[in-house]
Amino acid sequence: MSTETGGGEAPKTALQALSLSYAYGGGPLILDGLSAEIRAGEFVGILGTNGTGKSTFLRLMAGLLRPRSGKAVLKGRDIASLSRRQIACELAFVPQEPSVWLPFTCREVVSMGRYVRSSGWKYSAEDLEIAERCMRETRTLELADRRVCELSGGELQRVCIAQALAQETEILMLDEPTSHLDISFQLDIMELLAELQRRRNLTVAAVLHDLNLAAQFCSRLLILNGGGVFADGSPAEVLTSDNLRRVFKVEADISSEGAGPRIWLRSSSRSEF
Amino acid sequence: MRYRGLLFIALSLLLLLLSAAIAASFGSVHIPFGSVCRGFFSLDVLTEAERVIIFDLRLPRIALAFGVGAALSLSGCGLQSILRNPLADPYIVGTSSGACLGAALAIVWHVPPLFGVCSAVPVLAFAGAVLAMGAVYFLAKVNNVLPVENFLLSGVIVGSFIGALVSFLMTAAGSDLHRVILWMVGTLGQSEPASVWMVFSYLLAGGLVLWLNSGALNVMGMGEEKAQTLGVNVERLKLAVIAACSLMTAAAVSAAGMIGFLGLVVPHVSRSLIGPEHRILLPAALLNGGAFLILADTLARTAVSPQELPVGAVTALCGAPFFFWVMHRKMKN
Repeated sequence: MSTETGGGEAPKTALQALSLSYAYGGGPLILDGLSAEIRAGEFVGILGTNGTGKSTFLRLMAGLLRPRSGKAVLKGRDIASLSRRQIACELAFVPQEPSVWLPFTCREVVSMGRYVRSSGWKYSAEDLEIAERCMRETRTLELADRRVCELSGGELQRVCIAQALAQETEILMLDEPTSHLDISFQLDIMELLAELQRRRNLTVAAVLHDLNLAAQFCSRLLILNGGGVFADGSPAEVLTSDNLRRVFKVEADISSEGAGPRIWLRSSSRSEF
Repeated sequence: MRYRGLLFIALSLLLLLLSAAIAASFGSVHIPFGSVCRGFFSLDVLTEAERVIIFDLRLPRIALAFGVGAALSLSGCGLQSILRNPLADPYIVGTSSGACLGAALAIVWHVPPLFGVCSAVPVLAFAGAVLAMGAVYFLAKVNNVLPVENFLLSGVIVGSFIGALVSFLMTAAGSDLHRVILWMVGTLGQSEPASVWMVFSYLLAGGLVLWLNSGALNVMGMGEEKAQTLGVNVERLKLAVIAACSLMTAAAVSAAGMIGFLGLVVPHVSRSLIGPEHRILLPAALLNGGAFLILADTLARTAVSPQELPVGAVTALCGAPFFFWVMHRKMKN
């Protein structure tokens, strides 16, 4: 139940990928022996070009896919050996495009985050209180009685983050939380995540597209390429013009004043098209 | 919100009692509606003959109509939620075609009553339904996972295959063709007391399985993957809900034939009136499905009396415009 871990000792390993391999159907290996580690309290951004298996990596780490070989380890335990209930107590996941088929109210949707902590049939007063607090933290309380199908993309994304927070897990995973939002909502969501990560000492792992947003908010970045981890480190270490040229095939000027590196994309060197 | 839900359940219950009273009142012998209503409180107001008509003739049929309507509606509601498909209905699982084949075989082969008492038609229909459902389930399953698209597709495939067999049987049926057709359009007139008990026991068991899983069914509204990360064992839930819905459908179809439309529409109408919260929605769908079939059956047996209309046609004939009205009103808002 505790969300206030942290403390003085060395950060513990929250998630560990041990030479993960995965292929969809009979297709080629999309991940090939990927190993990585995410420590407690980090805000990790996962970058890479389309189709390099960023979402696949996230799904494997959340136990939604079973790897062909290798292991996904959640707090020291092989995720394949854990039940959905056990995983849901440790890890919350916000999908790329949340779709709610039925016209639930936002309050009902956020309360569903308490499913795993409740009897599964009825939410207690405490559950509803926690849901309300999570809505306040994500500034969705004013949406509480609206139906989710009436929300804009940014509002729905915030409601889904509130739902994930209501699970009260230490780890929060997000698959491109800002991909179909306009720039002010993107900033809004990233600021919210950074704030929650600090305040609740969450471990956040998010697949991101915008390099500047990633540089600005993440404490650590992973670039996936060729089925494995291409670069791993602080934003300043990872976002170099050499890395960007080799992975994203773009020329970039990087200036490192202020919070994190700023990236100025110049021109494409994709001449072979 | 919660009180609104309970109020809606209370209203549905009232509607059900009203439908039952109307059904008890109308028929070849008309019993005044007022005395039927007063009969709820004291039997003394009814004459001996009225009591016999109501309790021996009309009440068993009302009970069957309630059970069948409730089972179909509940089953449609559960399947729509678990498959996340608004077009899902109780017959999508292949149960109806399986039941059809079983019943047609029993009729065409003149299978004698089992154990000398119980007509073979519902028994074979039930067996056919369960076999078809099993076939659909195992065809769709891949490595212990049941993908919803596979399930819908194999339901359609098994349904068409068995449908073809039924067509062959019907061309060979000769003088029995009428009975096969009568069974297929659905009727509540020819069933036996045993089938009332069968429908009610499956309704009770299946309904409990669904209702106890209300919370998980709500979470399924978020999508399968999201439901998993929220802690739902999705595959186990699918198995439980599909089995419960299919068995309820099998019981309903084998008792009363194929009564269409109700299982698709009553859940939709109930949902658009009360919302998707399953703890309220499931009992509401159950009560409304039962009330709807009681009313439709009353109309079917009284409209052109002494002839009887096929109740399956009546449900669609009255249900479709009503459904359209509810959807239209909803779209305008």
